[in-house]
Amino acid sequence: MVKKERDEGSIRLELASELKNVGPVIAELRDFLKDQGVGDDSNVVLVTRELVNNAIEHGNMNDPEKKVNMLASFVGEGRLLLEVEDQGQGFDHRTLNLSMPDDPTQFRSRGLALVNAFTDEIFFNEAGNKVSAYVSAKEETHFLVQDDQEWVVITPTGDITAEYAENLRSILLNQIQEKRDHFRFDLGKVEDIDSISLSILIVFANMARKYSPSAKLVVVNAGKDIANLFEMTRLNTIFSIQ
Amino acid sequence: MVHAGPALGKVWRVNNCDMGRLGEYILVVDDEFTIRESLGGILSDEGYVVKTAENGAEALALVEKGPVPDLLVTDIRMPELDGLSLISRAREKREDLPVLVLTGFGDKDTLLSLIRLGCDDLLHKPCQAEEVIEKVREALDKHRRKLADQTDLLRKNTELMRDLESYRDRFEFMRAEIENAVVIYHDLIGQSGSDSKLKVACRSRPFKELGGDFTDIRNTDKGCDILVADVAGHDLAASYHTVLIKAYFEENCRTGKSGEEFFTVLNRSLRENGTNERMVTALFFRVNLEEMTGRLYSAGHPRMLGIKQNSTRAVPVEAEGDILGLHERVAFQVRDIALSPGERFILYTDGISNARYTEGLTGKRRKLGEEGLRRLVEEHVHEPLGKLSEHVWNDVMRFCRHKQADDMLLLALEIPEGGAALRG
Repeated sequence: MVKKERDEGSIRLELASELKNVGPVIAELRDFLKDQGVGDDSNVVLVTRELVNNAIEHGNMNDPEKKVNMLASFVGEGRLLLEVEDQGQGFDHRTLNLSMPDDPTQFRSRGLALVNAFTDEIFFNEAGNKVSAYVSAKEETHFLVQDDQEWVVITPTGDITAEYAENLRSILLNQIQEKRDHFRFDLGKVEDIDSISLSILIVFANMARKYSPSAKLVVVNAGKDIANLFEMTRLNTIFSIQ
Repeated sequence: MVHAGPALGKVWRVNNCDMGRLGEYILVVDDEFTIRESLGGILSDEGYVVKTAENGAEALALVEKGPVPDLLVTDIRMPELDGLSLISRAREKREDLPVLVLTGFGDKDTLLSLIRLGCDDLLHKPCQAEEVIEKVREALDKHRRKLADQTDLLRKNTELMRDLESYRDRFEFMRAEIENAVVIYHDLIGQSGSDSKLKVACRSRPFKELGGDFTDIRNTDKGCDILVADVAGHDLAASYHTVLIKAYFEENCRTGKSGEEFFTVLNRSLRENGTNERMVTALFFRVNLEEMTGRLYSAGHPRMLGIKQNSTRAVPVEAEGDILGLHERVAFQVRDIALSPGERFILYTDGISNARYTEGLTGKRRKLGEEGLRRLVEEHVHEPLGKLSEHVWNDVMRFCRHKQADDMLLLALEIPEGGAALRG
């Protein structure tokens, strides 16, 4: 049995402590997320499921008389605050180790470590029977490719990390195959470039210059950190930072 | 009456039935004698083995005594047990028994029941020979095809199971190989720094099981050579390169060549080996305890931090140089420093300086940076080396909320008090 209260940007659910209620809770949450324009985000769902399971099993000891209260509210663009409270005794959260255990078969200790891994911040009330977590709905980085006369303008919509590396690689390869040789990278939305992605940029730069001695590589709108990165790795000798 | 069938084997009719080699066994049930006789005749002429029955009960007795017919041709309205019940009961013996129904006149309710029971076709009385022959043949063919399909499916399923087994075996085998590789890798990479001339404390954690950051310390006759290296990537290829670097480092220490030569050779080797997308940054620090000097080479690596004894400041040691594995030609700035007893050095990889967390409420991201690391080190500067390294490491872990994004390595060194005299 699940009681529901919905608001502008939040949803509160109260359920009896039985595992069979988890399904309906998740369904309500998914619905809520969809209405708010957030995709059926696995981050948020995974975290909620884990927290509610915990509350039912460990917090309330599967006692159907006890209730679990869940509140999910938007605190910013694509960011949620999740709060799950049970009526149990709580636990000593100060001694909690949130790092993932090395042994993957340890299911018990993985629960909160998992929640920690998928949230930005997790904290408890004094007694330890209420868990709160800030979650960002994950957004993938896309690479926008536009033409500005002889320039190819590439604008990543977010950080350039290993998961998007393959995509970036094939996009850049395409451009070289189309004989383009003036490249402008707009890194305004990029806060982080990992070493794999850096390698790709460098190989791309080498290739571009090999195919066309008049190749021009420019970086614009780079934030302080990115500019530093290019300097430290001497990439500013290959890419002109403007 | 004996009738020779189209091929070998005698075929008998009526109550004495012998399953001829070609003929399927058809049971014809109708309360009218003429129907039984004409149908029986037509079908046995075609080579089928035919038995007849007057009513449902007789037919059912035949079915239950056995053998079960390959096809049932039956009327609906019969005494003793009507056609529908017969079909239903016969199907209990053979679920997929094909049935042709003889109908006199259309009867909607009957038709409905037939549809529900499932019959293969209808024969309208009076029946034309051609129609009978054709519909019987079709019903039997359909049945034969279905059987063939089922056998086929079963065969395919068995093949699939066998394939699955062999895939599973292969997977298990490869998994065991990988686990072996991990063990061998860790053996190869395992450090020999426990009897070093310098005091050493090291904390590290790879992002995945293989690959990534690497550190080694080797005693030389005058002191120590220290290497900290960061190979881009966490895959098998990265771990291959890490082992390569260790091998080269050992060789370099043996021959006593300079850090610059080491990096240059390494760079060439990295560029030659397959895909040239293997980026390596590194710090090579040669400590001479006799002369109390240190010589540092950096290959695009985060700066080493130095803390003089009794100082509260962690000062970065500047040394510029190219990242390895990316450029044809590489150049390195050499940095010579004077060493003092009790002086400490912190070498680390960018997994540490890039440690970050996202502020809950605002969603802002905060990075530790060199600045942040310096502050953490300075907080523990008064502690013995082991504690310093442990506490700084824990602080970094707390900072990134235990969420690792890259290989992390923190190496703390201490120049012994009495210089070379006390150790080695």
